[in-house]
Amino acid sequence: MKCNFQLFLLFTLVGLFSCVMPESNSDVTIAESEIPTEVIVHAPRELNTLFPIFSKTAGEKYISNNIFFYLIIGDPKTLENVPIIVKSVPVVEDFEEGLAITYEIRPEAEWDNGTPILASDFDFTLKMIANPRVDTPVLRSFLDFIIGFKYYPDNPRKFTLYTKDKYFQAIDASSYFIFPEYVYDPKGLMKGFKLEDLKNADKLEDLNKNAKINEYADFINAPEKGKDINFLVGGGPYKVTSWKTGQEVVLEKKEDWWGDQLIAEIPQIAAYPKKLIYKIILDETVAVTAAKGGEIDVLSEVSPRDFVELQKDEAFSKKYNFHSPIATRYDYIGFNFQKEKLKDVRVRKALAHLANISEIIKVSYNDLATPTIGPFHPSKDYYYKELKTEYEPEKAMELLDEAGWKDTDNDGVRDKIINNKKVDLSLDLVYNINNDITKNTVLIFQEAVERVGVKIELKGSEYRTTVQNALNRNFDLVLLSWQNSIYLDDPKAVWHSDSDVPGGYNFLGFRNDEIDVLINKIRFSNDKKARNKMYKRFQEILYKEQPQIFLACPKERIIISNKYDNAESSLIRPGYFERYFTLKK
Amino acid sequence: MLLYIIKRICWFIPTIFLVSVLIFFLSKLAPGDPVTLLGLTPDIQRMEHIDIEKMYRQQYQKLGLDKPIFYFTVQSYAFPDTLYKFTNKSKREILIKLINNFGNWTEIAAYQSNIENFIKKININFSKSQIKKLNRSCIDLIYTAKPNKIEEILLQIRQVIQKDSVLNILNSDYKILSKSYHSVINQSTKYKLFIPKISLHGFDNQFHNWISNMLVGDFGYSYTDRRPASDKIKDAIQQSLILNGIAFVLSFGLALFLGIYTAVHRGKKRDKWIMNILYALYALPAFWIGTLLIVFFTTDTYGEWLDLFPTYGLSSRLSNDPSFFIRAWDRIIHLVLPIFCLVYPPLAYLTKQMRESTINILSQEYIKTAKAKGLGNKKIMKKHIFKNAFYPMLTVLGITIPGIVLGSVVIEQIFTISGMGLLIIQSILNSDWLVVFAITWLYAIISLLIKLIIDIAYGLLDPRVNLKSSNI
Repeated sequence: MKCNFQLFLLFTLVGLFSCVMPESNSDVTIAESEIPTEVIVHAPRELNTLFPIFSKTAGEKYISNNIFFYLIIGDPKTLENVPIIVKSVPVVEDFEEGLAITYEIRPEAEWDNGTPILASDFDFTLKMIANPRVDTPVLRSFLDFIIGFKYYPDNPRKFTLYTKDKYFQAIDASSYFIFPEYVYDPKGLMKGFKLEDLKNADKLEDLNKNAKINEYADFINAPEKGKDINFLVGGGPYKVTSWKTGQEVVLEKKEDWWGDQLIAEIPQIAAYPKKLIYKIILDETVAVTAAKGGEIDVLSEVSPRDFVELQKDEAFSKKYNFHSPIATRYDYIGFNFQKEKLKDVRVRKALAHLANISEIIKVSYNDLATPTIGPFHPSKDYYYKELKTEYEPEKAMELLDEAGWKDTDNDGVRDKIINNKKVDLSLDLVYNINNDITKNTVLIFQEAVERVGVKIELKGSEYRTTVQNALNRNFDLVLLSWQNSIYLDDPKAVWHSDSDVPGGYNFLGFRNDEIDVLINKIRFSNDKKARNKMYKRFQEILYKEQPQIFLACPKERIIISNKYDNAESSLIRPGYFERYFTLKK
Repeated sequence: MLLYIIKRICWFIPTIFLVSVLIFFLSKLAPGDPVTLLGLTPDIQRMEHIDIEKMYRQQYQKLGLDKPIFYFTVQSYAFPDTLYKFTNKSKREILIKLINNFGNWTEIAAYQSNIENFIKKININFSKSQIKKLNRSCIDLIYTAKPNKIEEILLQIRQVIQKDSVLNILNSDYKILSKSYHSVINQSTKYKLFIPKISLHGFDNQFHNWISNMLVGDFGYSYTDRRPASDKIKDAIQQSLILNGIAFVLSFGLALFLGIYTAVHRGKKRDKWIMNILYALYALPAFWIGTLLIVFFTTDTYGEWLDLFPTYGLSSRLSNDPSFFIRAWDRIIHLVLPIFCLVYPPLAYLTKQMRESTINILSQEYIKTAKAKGLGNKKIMKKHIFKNAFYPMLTVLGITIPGIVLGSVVIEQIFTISGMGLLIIQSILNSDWLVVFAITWLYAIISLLIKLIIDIAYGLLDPRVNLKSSNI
């Protein structure tokens, strides 16, 4: 499930994460004196729910990861799959059009009431999400590819999931959280339904009217549940013990938690601090001041300026370590393909040659970013680093001349006759006005572009309006971010022509037949070599067509108290795995 | 007096109605789609076999958005009465554009229905791979209102059908579709766009449902956490009342004292000093002072003795079962800095009001008469000056009290206090419009109520307000 959330967390300009991990091959015995009594983490946004199926922000989901566990998680260092709730990575076989993915839950795994975690709990989890009246349609659509569930009468911990096709992310996507049926369906309302029936589109009408389906949905949809400490119960090492709205959420380590006995075998299951406290502080200056006063152990999403300033602060940097791995997102300026002026690739290329990326990174990001050539994360083995678009104003001018855009009336703006009408090369650039990085970037870009006779009108608005303008295609150029993944990329949502529909994420209106074919193949290819070749061809086409100016991948800005060990950074979100923290010897 | 109160109340009701109408229509202009903001639609890329539009329509209806907006609509004759029933916003916008271009709803509706029939037909008769291009063109057609673009797409569809022998059977359907589009162009009735039309919708409309719910305290659900907006407001209002209530009492009390004191000593050095200090404080923005106070007085960064107050919030995590005094002290120590930031900015204005008013009273003949009669200063102050000088402050009270409930956006944000100010700013940032407009409406109602009470209080307290002859 981990990589599928790239869409779920779409557009979120949240700052991200480095992380902290246990040493997998070293001695994992931790002395009592090394166990932190509490780790205080800064939460820069309000927390509304920790029930993951209703979480709307990345921050909420990352806290939930300490209460509920996925079947499988990614190793922070190697990024490899590590079985947590299950005994091993699943056995995958072809089954009809799709796949059969077989898991077996480890015998040690148990709920807080001492009962074992069983296959029926995962079946229930899938049914809860598939209930058409439960208010989680986005998550439902992500798990839509699971169409069947098989029990094994001789082994209540074993189960097989059937998928509708051979989607290449099926294993990751099928490893979702598991919820205890006894807590989340105490009346057994979902027991009478089969997953297959809930997935049947023909039965949707009847299901919507079904009394039990509705009664269950009313029970689970109740908004107060997301903050109810008696309701937030999972197989993870922590339970919520206090929630003060707008102030803090406290998680306490469970006594005799089942995972403790497995730390030697699976270091990634470890959870050491006795308490995890999430302090909600919305103002960055206040959060930094609180950290200076020793009230906060982990700060994230620090602005580049403050991050650099704090690094220079001798007293502060003696107490804290600074982490800045490359974030799993990139910033770009997108072109609207519906605009006549931008249909010519030479114009798009020219504008790309006018983006002075190194200056943008220096000024806007305080050097806390790295250039990117396309939509894939630079850590990927299929990242095509040779495809660079350099800052070359002369080349840009040549391309514009070639495309017929010349300043014929000497007013400083290039023009061209289109449909017997003289048109100036003047473009709107829509951007988020509440972000210093985007504000500086558009100014640098505007200055370079206007120098060669292209007029840029800056249209700043608050973030959501910017996104809305993008989705409604009210722009010539738009500066936004896109969440990419450290796992395999599924480019369908942004780059496939099927996504070029109202409300679709291909709001640039980019359509390319070869790209469509490549995406369709990539999504069902399990041959790494062939897939990487296709990914490279994909990037080549984007380089040739220039649908976006790929600006940079920002770096994370995380600050962690240096009193902790196990605090190296990783690419896996949320980065700081505070449950691994131990006190320095 | 009774007549005065009745007349005031008579004005109060239509004012509330008008303000509510204004807020409701403003809410309709808010960016974003409520169904999408509530996260009630699935990812369109993921559920290919599910009728996304149908699911959207269900949620749209659940929120009551498929009803007419108001009791009546005034629009052009070219538009149908039931355009609001089209749940798909993009489709609705295309229809509006087509109507604005051609003015013939009957032909446009037939054309739209023919596109949908055409799509249905190709989806029933052919496999996905066979009709990929055709399907794409049809979707483009649904969302296009430009005549030349429509012509272009229709031509593409014709070419695809003609090239492929399997798809040839769609020829007759294509002709119907093409014909219906040409009817839209040829039978254009643009003149209808200039004829106004009023349609009545009765009480089952969005505004009526909204205002009925608001009046019984049902403000709808928050888009961010699906909690009732009234619960969120209730939680926040308590914090704001504590903070702003204390700040209000302090700033008002100080202003009354300083106002009278400076008026009595007007022209003297102490008057000038006090007023200049107040003006200087007035010029210092509270967000700046608040941040400085936090930076300098909440940590030991600039010296251990400066670590005097907590950095944020209204309470600390205390050990189990703390005594009443420990809890009270914890609360007081948290309140000092935010209250200071709330008290000093309005002080200059309030003091000046009280000072002017007192000076005015001091120059009145009856004060001189009282002095001449030999009344003591204290008695004159209590009986004549304070009472009369206070009346103009009633108006100031009327303006200030609603602010106590609404909270302080800046101070609550800086000190991370979950009051109304923080709630409203967070709701705006999250496009949580139901909460934003519920607070706006509440604020308007409280302001009007306070104004009503102050008006009545004036009538009761100040004999100079001549009720009989006033043009109320």
